[in-house]
Amino acid sequence: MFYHVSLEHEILLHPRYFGPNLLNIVKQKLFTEVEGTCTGKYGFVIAVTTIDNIGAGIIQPSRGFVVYPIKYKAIVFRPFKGEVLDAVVTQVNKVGLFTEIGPLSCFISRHSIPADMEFDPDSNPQCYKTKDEDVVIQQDDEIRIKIVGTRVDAKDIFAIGTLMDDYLGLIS
Amino acid sequence: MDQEVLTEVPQTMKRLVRLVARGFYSIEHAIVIDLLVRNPCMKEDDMLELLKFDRKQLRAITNTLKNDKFIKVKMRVETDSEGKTTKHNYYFISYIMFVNVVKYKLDHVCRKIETDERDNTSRASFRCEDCQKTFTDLEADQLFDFMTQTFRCTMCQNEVKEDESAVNAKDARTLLAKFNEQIQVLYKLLKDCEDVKLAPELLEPEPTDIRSANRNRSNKPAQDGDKWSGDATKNKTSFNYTESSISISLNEEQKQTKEAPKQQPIWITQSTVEGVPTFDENAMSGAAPETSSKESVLKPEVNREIETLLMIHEKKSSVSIPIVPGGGETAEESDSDDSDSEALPPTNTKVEDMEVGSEEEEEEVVMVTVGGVKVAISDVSDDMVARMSLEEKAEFIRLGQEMYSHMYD
Repeated sequence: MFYHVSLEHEILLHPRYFGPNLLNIVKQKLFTEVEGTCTGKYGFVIAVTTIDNIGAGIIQPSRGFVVYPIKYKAIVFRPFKGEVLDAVVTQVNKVGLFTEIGPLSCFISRHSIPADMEFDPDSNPQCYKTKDEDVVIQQDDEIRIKIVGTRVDAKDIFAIGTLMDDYLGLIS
Repeated sequence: MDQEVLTEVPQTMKRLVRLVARGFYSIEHAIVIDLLVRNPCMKEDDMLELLKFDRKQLRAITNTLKNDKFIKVKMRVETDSEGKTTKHNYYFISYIMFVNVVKYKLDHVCRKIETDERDNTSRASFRCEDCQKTFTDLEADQLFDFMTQTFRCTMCQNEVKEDESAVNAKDARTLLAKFNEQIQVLYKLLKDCEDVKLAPELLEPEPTDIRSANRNRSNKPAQDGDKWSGDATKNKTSFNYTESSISISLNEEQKQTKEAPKQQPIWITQSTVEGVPTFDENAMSGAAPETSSKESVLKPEVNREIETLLMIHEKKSSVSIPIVPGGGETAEESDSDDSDSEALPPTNTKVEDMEVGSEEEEEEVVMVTVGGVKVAISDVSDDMVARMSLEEKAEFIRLGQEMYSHMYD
């Protein structure tokens, strides 16, 4: 699920950037440091939308670096159990499928793939397919999955999904 | 609104009882339940006779049903024709208890399936054969080695194999959906049985004379000519017809109970529709003008009060004015005079100042006091200034400045 949230971040700036372009550099640094990261609490930071406040910079004693506290708003993506999402298959093997939902990687165990679909190790590329080859799931295919569990670490989120529900599977 | 007390066991409840007995118990149990549904309260001996069961067998069945709180037993001491007293067991279904038990048990099943499902997602499905470390599906990303396309143990880098002992996961994951699908009928019936109040005679039914019922039954086959079809027709006539008639009456009751609350809102809305606008109108047309008129009445009073206050003050200053008429000095004096009434002096002095200003413009004779004597400002000489008190001097300077500021305008 996507959220628009207020967040805070501190930028540590080398003194060589002190100059007329300082604030622009601070903003640029915020984008590069924050966008694309992941926190367990808020999920993946997709994009910074607005910078609400750049606080007064504090020079670090005996270093010369300056710390800017920044308040900003960003769009974040936080996956939840039970959520249905569209994913791209990145890897097919005998234990299941690896997929990506934007920045989130998601594993679908072969036990969570409908029983009528079987792994075909001989085809190139490897795929899961039904007996009559009506439905074939292989690498780079788009599939609709339901998240059945998430592992949330401090800096990463990993999900496991299922195809065993209505309207899940290959998007055609 | 209170639910009406039903004097007859609703059809939905009967259906629920039979469905549960058929679905979760053996045929024998189901038959006993069926019998008790038909005859609210039955003597053990009658049941034996009808079912052609062993007493032991029947006891076993009734005991399990009793333990599951589906049926209740009443003990009665009866004297037979020979004057002997014998104890008889009478069985009956306790419907309310039955509904609660079913609800409780279904909830348990549901919860068990859910925990199973949760365990399955966190259950170890991979195992390193070397170090015996186990991994769940959630750790699959850490295991997978994109170079070799295999799962590698995070500890010893050996290949990780799927744990075949836990493959029943497939079933467990769809179990809840299956359960919900199959039990939906029961849930629907349970929902219908909600808030049903049964009359006390249904909860503790009196023994039915099964022999008379039997006689009726045996009579009917005789009419029909065929024993078994007779039994079937008996079923149809006594059951289906009563069922339909009951359901109709039930529907009517439900309709009535549904209609009643519908009618009430109309009443309420009508009363409010009539009442509120009139109130509002009163408030808008009647009360508001009143208040406004009150305000308008009040305002002049207040104004008058202020005016009278002002007038009193005016009189004071006008009293002081004759003494020192037209002089800027008067403001000074009145200021010191009115130190007791502090609220008014500012306005008063202002008014006076204005008057003074207008007088100045019209007459152009500005008076100052020198040692208590009024003198025209143009006549003030240097030694006069020297004689002035501090206050008088300040006033003289002020007035002088005022005059010259006018000149520059």
